[in-house]
Amino acid sequence: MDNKNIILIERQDEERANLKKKLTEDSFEVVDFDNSMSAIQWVMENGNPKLFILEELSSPLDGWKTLDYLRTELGVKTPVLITIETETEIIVKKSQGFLTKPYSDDTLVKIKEFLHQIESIKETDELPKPYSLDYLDELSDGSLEFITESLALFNDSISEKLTQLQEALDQQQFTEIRTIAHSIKPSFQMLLNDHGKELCQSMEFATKPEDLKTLVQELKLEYNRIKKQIAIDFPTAHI
Amino acid sequence: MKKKILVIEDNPMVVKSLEFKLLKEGYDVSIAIDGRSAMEQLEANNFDLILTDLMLPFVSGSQLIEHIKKNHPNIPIIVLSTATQEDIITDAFNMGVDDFITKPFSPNELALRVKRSIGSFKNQFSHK
Repeated sequence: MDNKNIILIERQDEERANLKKKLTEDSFEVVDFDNSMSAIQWVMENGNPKLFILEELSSPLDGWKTLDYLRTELGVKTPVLITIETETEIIVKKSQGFLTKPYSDDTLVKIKEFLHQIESIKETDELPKPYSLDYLDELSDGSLEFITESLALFNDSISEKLTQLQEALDQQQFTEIRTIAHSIKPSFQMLLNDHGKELCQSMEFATKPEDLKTLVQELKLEYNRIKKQIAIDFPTAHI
Repeated sequence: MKKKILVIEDNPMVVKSLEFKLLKEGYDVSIAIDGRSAMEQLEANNFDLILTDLMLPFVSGSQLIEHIKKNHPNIPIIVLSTATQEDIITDAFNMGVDDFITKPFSPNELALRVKRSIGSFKNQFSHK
């Protein structure tokens, strides 16, 4: 039988009830907890769900420690979505993604997309890399020097622009946000990272501060995903 | 003698790519990362082609094109645009730009369009 269980750990009653309702109405079966230990206990007694949604600031174990416990102590390989509230540098691993609050209809869409993605890559058992060098490779006829310099430029310039983006957001300078998003969009496109490109594009047209805040946060995470992968792929290049 | 191209663009990855490809194609390349610096370079040098973004720090794309068309009417301009800038590109064409290339550019397309723009201007003036 298809496992439709989702374990949801969320301290805030209203948020928990809201997301549970959305998921249940979409035919998922949700087992919800306001603390991480009860959830771990449930898994030990009942087995693995289809998906975990772990709040980053859950207690007594926070989301990351809960994830670590599930993976290392219980050997659980179930996909996990972490609901983040801080700009923690995410280490993206297999079967792992993130959500942001407040939970909304978009959250439901993201959860379903994540599950779809996980299911579609089961055959290779690998999450797709967040970037590709195909474009830079074609452009430079495979020049490693050009590629590594371009990746270093990506790391440095986007890091600087994300700082500027956050400052512009804090000061509600929406024109500046659009200008920065426009400026950095090609960098994500050159690494064939569609998600980063789409986030920049959305920023160019978003008008609500709360939407921009979420987009900026997501772009930072996407940048961190790429940066981590570059560090893995080019360990000696000092990028 | 090498043809001189002024690239006006503030994204360092795009700049690096354009520079790499254009140098490889045998052009002499100068870079300006904002409109102000571009105007200074235009006063100090002669260029055969300008490749420019339209959203730049300090000087807007339309201000820059206006300036180039007024003070350097013989230099062809290719606009570096993104896929979401249809209105801006249309305005740029109305102001007299010669062509546009979408970022990130296709390497072969860049080479062809640059050659064509420089060539068409050369022919235009040789017929006069």
